[in-house]
Amino acid sequence: MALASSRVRSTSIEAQEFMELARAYQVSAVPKIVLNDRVEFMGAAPEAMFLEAVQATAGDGGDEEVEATP
Amino acid sequence: MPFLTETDASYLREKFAEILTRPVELRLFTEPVSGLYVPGRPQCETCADTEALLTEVAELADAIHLEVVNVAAEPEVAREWGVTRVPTIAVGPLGSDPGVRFQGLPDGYEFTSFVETIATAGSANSHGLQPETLAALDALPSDVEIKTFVTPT
Repeated sequence: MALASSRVRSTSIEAQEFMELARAYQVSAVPKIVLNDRVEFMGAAPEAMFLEAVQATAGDGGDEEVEATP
Repeated sequence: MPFLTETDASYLREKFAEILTRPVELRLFTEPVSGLYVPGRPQCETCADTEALLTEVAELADAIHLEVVNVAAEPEVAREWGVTRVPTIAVGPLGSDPGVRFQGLPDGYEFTSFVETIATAGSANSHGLQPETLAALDALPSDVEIKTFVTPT
């Protein structure tokens, strides 16, 4: 998706090498996917479901609300 | 010691020759591991291996270009590319940055994703996404950053 869209960026993080990040994002199993640091789900989702999650994330307001999440 | 067996290497060489129709850039952000131990500052444990692996991958196809950035020497380049940890690999068509990053040594299962990302970056319209998905992505009202936590096994 990141290769196909300028709106989407993607980082794959090796959880064992970057344990402090894995801890910060409470990764207990992999793959774990986090969108804009607030929407998260486990495992690989089918394309349509993944797109829905991306759309929901992009649609609910952007950065102002990100700051409000704990 | 090479990461790729000769069987893997020849398979990938053939696959890349078939698929890659435009040049791909692998930009590795790394730091040299010195013999000097600085307390409180962990050394990059996988930087050397990552560079060795990417060197092998870049040798598989003329279309794959490897650029190595030493973040200690060029912190401004790392900042520009949004890189905060090493090793990080940025993958994209040569000369552009679609925002794809791999943090850590991409071995094990992650190597498959890495190879697929190279293949996608090097071939126009081969991302395998549905036309509806592409249209929806074009219509996104704001940016989305995806983090995927993985392990090699």
